[in-house]
Amino acid sequence: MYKLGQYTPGGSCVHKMHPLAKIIVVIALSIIIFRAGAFVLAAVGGFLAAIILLSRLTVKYVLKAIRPALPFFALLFLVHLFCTGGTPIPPFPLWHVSITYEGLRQGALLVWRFVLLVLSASLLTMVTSPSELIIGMERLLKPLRFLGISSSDLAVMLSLALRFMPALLEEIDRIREARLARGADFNKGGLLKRTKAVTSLAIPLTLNTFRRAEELAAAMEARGYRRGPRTYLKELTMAQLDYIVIGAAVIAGAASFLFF
Amino acid sequence: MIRVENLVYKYDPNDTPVLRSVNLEIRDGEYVALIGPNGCGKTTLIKHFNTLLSPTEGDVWIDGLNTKDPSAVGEIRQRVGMIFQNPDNQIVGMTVEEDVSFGPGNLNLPPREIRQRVDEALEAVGLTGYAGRSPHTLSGGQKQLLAIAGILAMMPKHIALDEPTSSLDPAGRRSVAAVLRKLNKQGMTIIHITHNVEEIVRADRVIVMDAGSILLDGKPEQVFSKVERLKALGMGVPQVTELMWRLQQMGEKVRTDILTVDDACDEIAALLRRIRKAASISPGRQARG
Repeated sequence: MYKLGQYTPGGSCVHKMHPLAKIIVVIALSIIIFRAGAFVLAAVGGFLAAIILLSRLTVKYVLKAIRPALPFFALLFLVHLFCTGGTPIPPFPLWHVSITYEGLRQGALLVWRFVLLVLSASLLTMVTSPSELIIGMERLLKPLRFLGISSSDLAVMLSLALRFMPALLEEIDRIREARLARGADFNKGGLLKRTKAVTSLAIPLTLNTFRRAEELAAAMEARGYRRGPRTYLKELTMAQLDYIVIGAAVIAGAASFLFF
Repeated sequence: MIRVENLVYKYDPNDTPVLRSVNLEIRDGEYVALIGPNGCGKTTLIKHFNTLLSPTEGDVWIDGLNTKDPSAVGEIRQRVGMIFQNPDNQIVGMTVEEDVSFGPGNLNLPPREIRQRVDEALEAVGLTGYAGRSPHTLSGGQKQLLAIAGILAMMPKHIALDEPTSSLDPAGRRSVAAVLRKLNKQGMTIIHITHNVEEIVRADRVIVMDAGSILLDGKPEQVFSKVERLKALGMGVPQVTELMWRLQQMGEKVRTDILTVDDACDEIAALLRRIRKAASISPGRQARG
């Protein structure tokens, strides 16, 4: 199974950057991508290409991340192509159907925006290990403590969710096999019947998850877990470069948010 | 030292108690096997050792700290490690070393010390080469060893284990048993709930529980020689012990406090010698031989 934006270990300068800096860059990029015009979007494309080269990933591998989203992009493009008013491109309009120059331009631009967005998000997860990502999130959400939300609690929740993902997938398989062994068929019947067959997996899965959660909570407590700040095996320190990158990202993001 | 005084525990005030006035003392460095039929209160008892449960009546003392004292909870959890049956549900990290670092991280230790403890714990259970691996790629036995490493990183004095080997294959079971024995030799108190006869036989002391009380408490030979009482509880005894017991039931004068094939062999040989001797003295019995 190919996983979207799966972490690819490496020793490049992009890999080594502080996760907080990388997360802030991606957030700034997302703002820029949605606010900027065609020229800046082209520049963002160039920037991402440079990052791919710096992190020593192959372009082909990175582009794979877009593949699952292609049908969505195609739909988006077509909707804009056919449904935007303006000057029709000859030989249109044929019968009631019309394609316009404006539609072509808008569709292409929107798809390009989404491509860049998916690319920057998957690039982040490709060059940052899940645990580093969580440390980055914890740092990013630290200001939330003024609202009474503890970012270390959120970080533990997030890492447990990631940790138990494969376990839950295995569990689904087990329940499904148990059903199959008793004569269930998930591939027969109409859409409604099939949907019902799948929901019959959801109930045992939910119950098992609760039982698992109870055991996990006991095991965590037994290992001295309590809410609030904790320390980590890898303490990441910010380098000068990280501060510069964060500063640049914040300025660029704020500028595009305010002025475009 | 773990001391239990008149411990009564009810999950619900109106329920019948799960533990009825348990008194127990476990010395430092002992290897205790805790056995009994399902639902007899074994798990409930050991959950008191690490303050996962608090007594309804009575007291539990860990090295002189009362588990009812809220300010002692952190210290007690550090002193008594707890291992559960299903290793999957006690692993919290995304990699092996991250999981081991969870406990020391909860103690807010500096990263350098966490690193040292993680390396030592992984070495103690023989998982050094697996530090970067994802836990779900490990075998069942390795997962349970990882869970033990996670506890060792807390540097406990006592470890309580709730059927840690019941879901493992023989190889996994052996590796866990070997690690437990090694830790015990280094002075760690081990309290091991198990149904596995081999594991019980190797303990210093066996405690049999039924219906919330301690029924038998003593060295394995002493406990297992009470074959009838154990059978009444539906519990197995080693085959050689049962053999000696049957011989005794048939009227032969043999000891029943025997757990190993070697000891059984000696005892039966002695029995045969006695029979032969008797036969040579009174020729009348020869026809039976």
